[in-house]
Amino acid sequence: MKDDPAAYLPLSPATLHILLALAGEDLHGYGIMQEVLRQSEGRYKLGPGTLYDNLQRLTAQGMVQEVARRATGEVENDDPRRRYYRLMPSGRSVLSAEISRLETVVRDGKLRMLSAKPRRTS
Amino acid sequence: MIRWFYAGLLRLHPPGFRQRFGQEMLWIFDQAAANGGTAPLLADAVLSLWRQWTLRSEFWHQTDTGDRAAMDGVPVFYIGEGDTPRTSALIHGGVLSLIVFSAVWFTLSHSNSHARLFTLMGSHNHSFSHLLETHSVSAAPTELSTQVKVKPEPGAYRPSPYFRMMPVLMALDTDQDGIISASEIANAATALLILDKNGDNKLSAEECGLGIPHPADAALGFMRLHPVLAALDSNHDGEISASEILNAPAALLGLDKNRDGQLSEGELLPNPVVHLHSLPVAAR
Repeated sequence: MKDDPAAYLPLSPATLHILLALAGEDLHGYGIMQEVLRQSEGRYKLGPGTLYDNLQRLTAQGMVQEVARRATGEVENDDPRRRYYRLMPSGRSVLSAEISRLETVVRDGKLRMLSAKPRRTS
Repeated sequence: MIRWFYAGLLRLHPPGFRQRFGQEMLWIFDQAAANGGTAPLLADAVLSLWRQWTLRSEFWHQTDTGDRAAMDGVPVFYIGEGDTPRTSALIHGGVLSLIVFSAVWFTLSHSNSHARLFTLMGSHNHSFSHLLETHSVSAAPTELSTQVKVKPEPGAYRPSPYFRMMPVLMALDTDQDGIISASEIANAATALLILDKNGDNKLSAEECGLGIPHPADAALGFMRLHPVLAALDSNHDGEISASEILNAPAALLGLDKNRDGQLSEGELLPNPVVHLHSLPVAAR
């Protein structure tokens, strides 16, 4: 894990959505997919292959950690095949840095759009 | 059929990825199949297969042994189900077992003191007083019983605290085996005279173990307390006279409650309750 969160930026859309999904609570893989679908209002569908490829990498980088089970709720309905994932402080730092970067991009973009002079059409 | 095909695609993934995520991906497939629309998952699995084999070589052999945090204090256990030891590990284990077995066999067959080794292994006591010499009588081929006689090594016996406290018993027990045998009883008079330090041919309570001179009541109580002294001091005057010394064998045989011709410690220990009632009121 690199010390500087900025070293991981920019995040890919899949990584960003996964970290965002885990920012609220611990989730299992299918829960992450559902949360990503909800956040993107149904426009970004994350496949299991992409999801677990990212989780594998994020786990190795220490941003996400696999946990034994969820802290609250759904315990009695847990499928033993489910594994829960938790956003670690380092992952939260990277996500925070990415959001700041995106905010800057949005602010700069808005300023540029406002200051842009309409082109003359002859 | 589609599920079988999807499971086959998962099985083609690198071992590390398959072991870690395969079951959960199959579970997601089951969830998706219940809601319809499994075709995108098949495409995703094919893409994942290509990605894992071409771009993720660092994870090919990473097994599912990563840190997994426990929640609510619940411990986490890992199961090595399906993991088979490597061939080299099996060979190393076999060779190591053979070496250890050979070393033990060699030690047992070539060591002259293996009996002592086994005895020491079974005891935390570093004293050698528990090492006993054994004599086995060889049995006839038709007999299945073996008689083992055990006796302590000479000098290995450690007298009991009571024997050590009582010079009379130490003098009588000439072979120091903790038992006053028939021959020792027969030679009691000679043995007792060793204790006659002042040469007056009688044994006072002090010479019998009381130590420094005490009042007459205390000496009398001492002589009555210990059965061996009470038996030897037949007239109960607080000392063992010359005639009582000569009559010692007969007096000692009076203590032989089990009639085996010898005196063990159990027959020589004082009875505190009886003694309390036999003491003069002033001495209680």
